[in-house]
Amino acid sequence: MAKKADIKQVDDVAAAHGLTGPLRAAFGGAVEDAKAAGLYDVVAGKISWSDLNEIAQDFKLEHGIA
Amino acid sequence: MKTVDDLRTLPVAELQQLIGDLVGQPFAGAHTSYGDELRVSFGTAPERASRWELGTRAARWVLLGKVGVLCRETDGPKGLSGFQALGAASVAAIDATRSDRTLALAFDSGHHFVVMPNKPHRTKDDLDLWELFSPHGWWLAVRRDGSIELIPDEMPLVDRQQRHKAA
Repeated sequence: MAKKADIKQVDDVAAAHGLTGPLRAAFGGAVEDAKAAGLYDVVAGKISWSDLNEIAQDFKLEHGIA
Repeated sequence: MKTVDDLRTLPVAELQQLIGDLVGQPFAGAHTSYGDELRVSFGTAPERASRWELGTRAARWVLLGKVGVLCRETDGPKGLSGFQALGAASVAAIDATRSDRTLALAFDSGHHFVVMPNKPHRTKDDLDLWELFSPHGWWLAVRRDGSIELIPDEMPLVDRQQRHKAA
């Protein structure tokens, strides 16, 4: 079952970084990929706010977003 | 940055016409995003960003085969294996005309996929019920209060990626 709080958390981080629409959706996928790859600490199934922000910064660089 | 003027509230008939373009598109894959949100892709484009993508947010969903339920949202990520039964089946019909904005897809293989509200109450500040990204420069957000918004995408993801690669 989808975890509404986790989805909202990623939506909030995306919004803070100006990622909307398809970019927001792609960011959610990028976070899941990073989680699955074990690149970040996962506590109780969650990635920390600071790590989400780091993933967002990397995502923006990857997509040429200032 | 989008403004309120960029958003258009759609009547249901226009919604039905827009999403009708999904008919004929083959199933291209199902995956979960962070928070175990199911996202389903359609189309033949090699790049995911050029395909149709349906996001189910935190809504209920179910994939039905000829003999019953293949998987549903309570199955978690393991339930994704149920989508293998779709193979390359194409969307044969689509319906979003119910007042609760339930989305129903019928495939030419006889399978059905349904996205539906999970709570009787509707609040404006909740997650959207479902969203559909088209490869044609627009996406739809279907809100839990029953409203439907057509949102132009000024810079489709695939164009952004190509532009960035070329830079």
